[in-house]
Amino acid sequence: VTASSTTRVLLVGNPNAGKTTLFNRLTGLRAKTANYAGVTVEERSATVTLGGVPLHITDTPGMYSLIPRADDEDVAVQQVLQACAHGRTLVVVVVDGTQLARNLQLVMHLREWDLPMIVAVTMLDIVEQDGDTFHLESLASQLGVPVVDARQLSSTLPAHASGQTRVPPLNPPPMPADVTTSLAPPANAFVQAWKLPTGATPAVRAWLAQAYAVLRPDQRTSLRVPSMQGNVAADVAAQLVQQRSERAQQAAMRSLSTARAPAQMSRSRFLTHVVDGVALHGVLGPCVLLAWMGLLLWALFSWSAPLMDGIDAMVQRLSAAVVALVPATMPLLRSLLADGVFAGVGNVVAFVPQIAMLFFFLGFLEDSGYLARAAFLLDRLMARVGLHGRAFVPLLSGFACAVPAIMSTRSIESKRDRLVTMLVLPWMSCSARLPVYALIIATVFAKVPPVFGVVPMGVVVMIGMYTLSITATLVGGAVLKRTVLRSPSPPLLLELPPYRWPKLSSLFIAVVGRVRTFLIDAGTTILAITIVLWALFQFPRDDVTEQRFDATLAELERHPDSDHKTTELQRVQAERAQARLQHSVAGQVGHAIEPVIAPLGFDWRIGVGLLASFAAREVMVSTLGLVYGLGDDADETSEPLRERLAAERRADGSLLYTPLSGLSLMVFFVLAMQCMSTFAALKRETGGYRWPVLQLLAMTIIAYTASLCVFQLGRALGLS
Amino acid sequence: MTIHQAIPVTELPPQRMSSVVGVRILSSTTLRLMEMGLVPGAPVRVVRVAPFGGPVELDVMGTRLCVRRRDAADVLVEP
Repeated sequence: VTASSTTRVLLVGNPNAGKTTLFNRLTGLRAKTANYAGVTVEERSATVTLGGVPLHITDTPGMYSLIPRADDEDVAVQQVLQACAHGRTLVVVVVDGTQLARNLQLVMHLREWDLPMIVAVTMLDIVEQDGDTFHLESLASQLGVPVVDARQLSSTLPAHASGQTRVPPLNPPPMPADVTTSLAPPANAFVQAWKLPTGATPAVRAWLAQAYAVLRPDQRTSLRVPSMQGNVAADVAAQLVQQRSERAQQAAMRSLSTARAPAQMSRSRFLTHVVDGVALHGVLGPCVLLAWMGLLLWALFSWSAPLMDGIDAMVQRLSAAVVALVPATMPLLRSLLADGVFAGVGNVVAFVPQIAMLFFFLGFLEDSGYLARAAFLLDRLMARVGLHGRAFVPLLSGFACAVPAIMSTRSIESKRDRLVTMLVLPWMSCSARLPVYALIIATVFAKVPPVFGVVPMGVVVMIGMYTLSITATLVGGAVLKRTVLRSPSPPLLLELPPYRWPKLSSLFIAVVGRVRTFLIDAGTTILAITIVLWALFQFPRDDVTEQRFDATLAELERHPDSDHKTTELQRVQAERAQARLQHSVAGQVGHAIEPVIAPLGFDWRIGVGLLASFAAREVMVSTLGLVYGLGDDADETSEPLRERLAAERRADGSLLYTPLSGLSLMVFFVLAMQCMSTFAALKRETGGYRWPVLQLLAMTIIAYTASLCVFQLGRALGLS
Repeated sequence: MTIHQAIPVTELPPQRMSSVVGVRILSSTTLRLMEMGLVPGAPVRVVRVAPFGGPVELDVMGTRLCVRRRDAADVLVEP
């Protein structure tokens, strides 16, 4: 909420100009992230008091001009136009001092509009290291607006924000008379639609002509740009760009003095040149990329494990402490707290280490300038599949967990390409599926002879599952991109910024922001679903059975303490859990869906496990423990569970878990969207239930069909 | 130098300095390339080409741009 006395400050600038780093430095951890209405672009803003002046600072997506080409630029342009209309808004144009001529083009474009603005120059430390001299005053006099050193922005911003002085805008070049005439009515309509304070100025006409030249017809409609003759607009647009470029080059030349010869590279550019000689080399480049990605996967898999275990232990201890406060006479409340609320909290916070690590890593690669190089190397490969070049890192991190991976697809600018990536991401076989694979392989493939006498069957099956997962993801992406989510591949126009050492404080702020967003938005959904699942597995209860178990337990309690008593107590508790489960909604649903899943080789117990695995994939294992009356602390390495599964028979006496039914179950696990956290993450990222529900349905149908084919074909071929 | 004698930037041998003459057609993409610095008169060179028909890396007044070959071919330079 912005108080009326608060001045708005809008940070705008080219991509890589250092805008976000500056925003993080100005606002620290106070920034709030909100999805910009209707699109998946984020708006980050914060209200801070600098030098006694209250300021509402907003970061905008990077843009090259006021003519939007993608969703994120569209948001930035809308914010600038709203600033024109709103008044009391200071536009701070962030300009990279090492790329001055190019960055000043945007300044020149903004100067055509009647906006209170200042220019903040970043990277001046690099300019100084390169031995160049930057003349801020000279630039200010040429631009006609104040120019400040970005390092001192927090102290100079309050004065500029409170004492805004408007300077007359720079006029764009004159247009042919007939263009001006034909643009007058649409320009007036545009001014009214955007509630701009001034009439149809030359800036408005220039914007319309240029917007018309570049926009697709649907974008023209959404931006209310009326129809006009195409070629004229394009010529006008080209003239406008060229004039801004000339103005920018002149201003840049007079503001930066250098002792170097024109052809000589600056120190920072030379370092980048040398590093790129390796990083973008035809052979070495892909090797470096593979090494980085290997490091990422390694970090996500192994470094996060101890952290996740630590968090889990902490939640458990907290849970135990809280549960202990509840009298033992209220077992249901205890169960709700322990298995519903705290289990839900545990499910949510378990993601924090991986999310933090992935975003730290991605932020590091992005801020250092390497991510753009990765896109350069991967563009061809990914385009062939139909996936966006930037989809590579999210897909890869899907091997660890789909939730942070879905959040990280934000770096894909095209809305449809991003959606394609998010929709196929759950097919990347995440680490939570590993315990399930491990249990099934140990149960049914342990006694199968090794392939060629040396390779254990389990290894072959595991490789097969990962191959299936990658194939499904790539084929799914290609199919979606060519059918329901067909869209033109946006042109790849990337700047390869000079390498820079990322600012750790800014990275830290960004990571905290991500984690907080996840906890608030997706976390609440995950917690709610966990509690619902808990209820489904607890109710209804059979009073007679409950009383019988109560009596048995009370009887046991009277015996003197001994090892035998402890084992007996555990056995009876496990039996009661088994009985409760059978009687619960989940157990009944498991029985109800048995006819549906029987053709896949599953019985009702696996059905219950599949339902439970919606909470988290690995819960399948502990649920099977419950179903078989072994208690819920069974894991994939526990011998009793493996033996129990291996010995389990169907009603007709045939073995339930055979290599074939095991394979069918694993295929189902690879392909089904069995994860409420992914569901919650997708709901947050797409802003509604439509896509997650469609994804859940589609993936379940595909998984069912695939498992059906595996089991029935296998049977027809005489396998078991 | 007229636009008819110019060649697409993708036909320049790597590292040869040249300068932009103009764009072959005015489109959303070529206007963006101009906004990124590829305006007539700007010095330009191909730094390297990504393997397997991937994008090209251009140096425009010290800025490094990564552009798909198909899009870069619309930028015309002095031969």
